Amino acid sequence: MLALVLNECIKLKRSLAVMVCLAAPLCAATFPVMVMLNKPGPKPWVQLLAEGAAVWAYFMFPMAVTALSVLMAQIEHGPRMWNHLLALPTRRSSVFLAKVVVLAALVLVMAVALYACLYAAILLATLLIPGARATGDPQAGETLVSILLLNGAGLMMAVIQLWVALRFRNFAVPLVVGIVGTFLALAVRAAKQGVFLPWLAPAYTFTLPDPTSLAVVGFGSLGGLVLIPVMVAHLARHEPTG
Amino acid sequence: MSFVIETQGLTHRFGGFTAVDDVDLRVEAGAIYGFLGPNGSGKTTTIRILLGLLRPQAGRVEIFGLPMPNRRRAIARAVGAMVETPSLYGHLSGFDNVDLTRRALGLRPSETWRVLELVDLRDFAGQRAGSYSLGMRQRLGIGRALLGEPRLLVLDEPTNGLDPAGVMDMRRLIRALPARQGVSVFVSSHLLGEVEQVATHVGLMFQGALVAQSTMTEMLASVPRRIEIAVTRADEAALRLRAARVDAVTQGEGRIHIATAGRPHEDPARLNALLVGEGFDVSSILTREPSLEEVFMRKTAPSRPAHGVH
Repeated sequence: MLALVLNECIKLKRSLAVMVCLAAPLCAATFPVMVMLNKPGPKPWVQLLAEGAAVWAYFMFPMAVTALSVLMAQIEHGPRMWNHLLALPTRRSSVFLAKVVVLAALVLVMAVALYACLYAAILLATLLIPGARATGDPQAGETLVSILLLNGAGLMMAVIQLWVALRFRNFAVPLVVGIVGTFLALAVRAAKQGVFLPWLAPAYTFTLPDPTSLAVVGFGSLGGLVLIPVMVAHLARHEPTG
Repeated sequence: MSFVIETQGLTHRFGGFTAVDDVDLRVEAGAIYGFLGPNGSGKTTTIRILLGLLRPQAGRVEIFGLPMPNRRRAIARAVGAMVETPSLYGHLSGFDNVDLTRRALGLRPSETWRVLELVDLRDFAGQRAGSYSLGMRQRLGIGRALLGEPRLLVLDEPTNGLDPAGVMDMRRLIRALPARQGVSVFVSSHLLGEVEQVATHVGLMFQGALVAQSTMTEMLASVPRRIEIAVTRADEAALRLRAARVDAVTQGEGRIHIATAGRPHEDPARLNALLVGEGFDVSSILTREPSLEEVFMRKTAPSRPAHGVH
């Protein structure tokens, strides 16, 4: 299993995965900088960090997960690797499980990258934008925990995205699922019925420890863990087409 | 007799289309088995079943005496395969491509260099596989299939799209494998002439069915060889030969064709003596062995639709 996980990491060499993992958090981190540019003056750290985290939770994170899962799946679909991979004397389930593990690791990398980018961008803005200032406690520890929780709540969404991307050779299918999920999450944010949409779960980490938010975050993270064996079993049974 | 591959009544349908129809394959240990047939005759589907990528809907498959797909992992440890085009990660180096499989198989790191050496790609190991020529890609695919010294190598259309030099390289490589690696080779192709030059055994597929299977020598001997004689007064000479119970027909001006059945009186020297003795001037006698293409056309003739204008 460890060998297959290592193989998945090597496959990402010279791919766009690293760029996605860095570019997406960087884009989210530019948002508080824009806010400081528009209205220079003192602003609390908490508000600036929340601006960046909101953009991340609602838009950049689901889009980045969609892009990464499509990328990981297309590495196999593109050159028709399934015949080769699934004819090897390894457990078929391990092949797919290794992909989930690596996607989860990339989500973790993105969490750390977002954390670093947010603080770096705000600090840089305070130095470069005249009059801009971040006030109050930077809350470094709490922010890190929040971001990790946020990304953890997106596990179910990540598993669904990877599942669709691996199942369908055509990359448009997971892309459409990701785009529809992301925009649906924005649309149903206010509706009661929308709370259990996996694409929305990361945003509910902002209102923790509210009981509904707790349930939604639990659904998004633990639900993802439950979904992994179902996905792996389904994909391992499926006959490859190339 | 020990078989590395044995199937019985192997059948697979895609909807209403029967891709593989009641196929009984028998591949002996140490053989280079040419699995031949036109495109769409069921070769790749059969190979996918042999590798456990598809479940047969009827019949049974045994590889090294073990049932497939029940013992898929045990079988796969002793089988190397290249199905259809060699699928490679174009953004990774040739070394990485082989090494990924080496690691998945749990083999020692030196194994990657051994197979790269074997397929003459050691000097190009650092280049991206995407920049390889088709011949190099095919060789890399075979190299990857040779990891762990498998007892059976399954190659699906390994000469597809290769230029003549690439085809010759591939032929040389396949021919050398049983001796160098002690491996049995199961190679599919629609290029009958190519496989004729390397295979020791042959199976002919047509419309999903295995129409014939034997050693190459027996297969070629199953169709009579032809003798072509250039002679004066060909019509008269053919009449004289037919009177001597030789199946001779005139073919154009001054030429006689004889389909032989290996009988003593069809010996070229005797035919020559007979004609010369009767006063005919014989300018040449050529013996033509049947090609695998001729054998294939004969064996599949009953199933093939007649050509022509209706």
